[in-house]
Amino acid sequence: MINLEATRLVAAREIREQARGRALWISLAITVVTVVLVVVLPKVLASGPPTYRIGLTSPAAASPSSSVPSGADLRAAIETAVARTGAKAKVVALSGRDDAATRLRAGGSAHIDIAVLESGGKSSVLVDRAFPADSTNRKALATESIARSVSVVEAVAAHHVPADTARALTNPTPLPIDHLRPAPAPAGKRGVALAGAIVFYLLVLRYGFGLLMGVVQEKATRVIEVVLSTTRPLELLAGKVFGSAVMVFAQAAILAVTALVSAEAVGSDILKTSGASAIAVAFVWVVIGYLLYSALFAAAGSLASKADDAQSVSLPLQIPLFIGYFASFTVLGSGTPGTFVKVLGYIPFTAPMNMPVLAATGGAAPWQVVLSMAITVATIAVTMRLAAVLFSRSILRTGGRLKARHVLAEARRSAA
Amino acid sequence: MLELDGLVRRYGATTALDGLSFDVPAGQVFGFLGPNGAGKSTAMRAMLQLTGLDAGVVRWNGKPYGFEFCRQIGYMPEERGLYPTMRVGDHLVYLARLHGMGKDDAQAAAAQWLDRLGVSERVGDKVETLSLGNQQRVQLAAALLHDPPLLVLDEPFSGLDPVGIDDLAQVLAERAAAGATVLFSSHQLDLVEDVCESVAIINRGRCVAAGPLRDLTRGGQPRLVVGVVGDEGGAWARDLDGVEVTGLDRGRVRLVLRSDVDAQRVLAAAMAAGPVDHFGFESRKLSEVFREAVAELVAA
Repeated sequence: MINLEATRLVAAREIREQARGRALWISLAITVVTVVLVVVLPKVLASGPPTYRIGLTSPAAASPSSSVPSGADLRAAIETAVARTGAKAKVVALSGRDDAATRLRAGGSAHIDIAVLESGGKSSVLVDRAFPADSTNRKALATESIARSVSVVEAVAAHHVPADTARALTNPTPLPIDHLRPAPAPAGKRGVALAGAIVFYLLVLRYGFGLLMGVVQEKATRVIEVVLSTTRPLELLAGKVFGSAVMVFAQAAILAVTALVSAEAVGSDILKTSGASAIAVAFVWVVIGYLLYSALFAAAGSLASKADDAQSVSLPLQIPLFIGYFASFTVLGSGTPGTFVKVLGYIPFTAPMNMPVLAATGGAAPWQVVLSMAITVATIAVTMRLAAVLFSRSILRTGGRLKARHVLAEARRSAA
Repeated sequence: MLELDGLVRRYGATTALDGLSFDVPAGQVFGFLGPNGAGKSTAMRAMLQLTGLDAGVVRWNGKPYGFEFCRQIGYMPEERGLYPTMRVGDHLVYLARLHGMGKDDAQAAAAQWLDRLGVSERVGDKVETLSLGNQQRVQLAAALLHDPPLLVLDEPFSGLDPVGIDDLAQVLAERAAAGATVLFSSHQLDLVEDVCESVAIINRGRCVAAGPLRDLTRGGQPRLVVGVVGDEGGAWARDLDGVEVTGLDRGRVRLVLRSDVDAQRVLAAAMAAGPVDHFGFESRKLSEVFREAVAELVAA
């Protein structure tokens, strides 16, 4: 039977002592600022599509049957041509070639980027400086596109095609595009999944290790004997895990809210591409993932006898963390999840990092995410028991590092 | 009364407790003695149920006890168990509350004991910033503040200055007078002799002597302390048959008499050597009792 009051007192002490430390607040401030920058910077730095000022000399008013395209047709052709290159066009009137030459080299409001000189169905395009051959510069592409489109419009007009037909010919409805595989998930959603994996890794490593070091210190200073003369090992373990979990969940919640609020404030794309639900799912993964790891970190601490043992006793926990962490990066790079990551997505110790990434890249349907979460939650029940056995049997033993294997074998013997 | 009955504790091939039995009477300050590695700390941990036992039982007032009674014991481990970065006041309140005290009572008790032990001005400081002696006082406060019926203190006097030793001795006597059972371990035998009414001496996990100090120090060969004016070296006694000079103490000579030697004959010899300004029987020192008890087992 667990004395909840003792557990509460232990948890409250863990939280109070952590919150007293300056390190917590500094690292939290840095993380919050990082999250804000990651969300806000792309939006702030992104310039929209460029707008080119295109000069056009006015043709003589044309009749519907004219063999020369009208000014409106040319203007439409120019705007469509520029739009195809991902830019915008602002068409301004020119009085002639001299005006064009002056304004191509002028600054300020008189400036134009490209000039189209209409000449009775044989127009020409003029720019200030020639583009290098094979230029992929957007202005070069826009200029090329204008030259083609105006040429097509003029050719259509020269053959006396009726205006409606001409428009349909020069600005056709694109063919439907079918696909073999669906498009990759939007970058925003994938970014949220990766950020979730990074935050999970950092929080578990920092707080899991903090829990472990706390237990090692209690053993090394023998304060554990004083505490355990008033508290049962399970109450102590539960209090420590609960206290550190509260710290982790609070920070994960602060980071999730920071991400959502800053995305909302700058109208980030993250919210449009269902990134908001990804943030919520990432939070859930932090919660269940931390519950999975934390009790085991505390139990690992009970196996150590001095601070030097911390690395070796925690190695079995650090390995899956590292693997899951690095695997979550590779999947974003290649875009398609490999079998390895698909397997990691269902292994409870790597699932909190790999399943969100898998879901964001289309490698797992929502039901598969739920299945993976269910497997992880079921495993928590097992690891908590394992941790309780290890912790209760090791916490008062001094004199050297203990092996989990031996402690568990002993537990089995004494149960038999 | 606390009874240890046949305690056995083995760690692999090592036997830390080997059928350890003795009783600690209520309302007394009880000294728990033994050479290093004799099993004192293991026995104390067994009293707190911090270690399992392979055999034997510990009873309080005739009955074996469980965790709920352990929570009431005031315990101080040998290696001072405090959280180094916790503040002194918070630490005491935390431990008091784990002992089951309410928040207000815990705060009041912490303030009272810090004041009583002379460290009240350090209440807001981190434990690690205190000197070892002051950390020890805080540790003692932690063991005392929930008014325990049984105090189990592992080496409480080591590291204290003479004022601290007097304070602590007085506190322990007060607790015992109030009805508590007070057991502490120590290697400072003179101190134990001053402070305790009874002791147990253990060696290799077994009790080799136990009982009231006056019983343990009585017996053995008669001892005399004699002062003869003008013969501070005790030359007069050196040739007496059956009399051994065991030491000189500020002009007086300590003698151990063979059991068949008549003390009156020694007094006559002293008076013949000069004016006698001191003549008295002396009981054995605890240190002698200790050495004999420990040596007997080694010889056996």
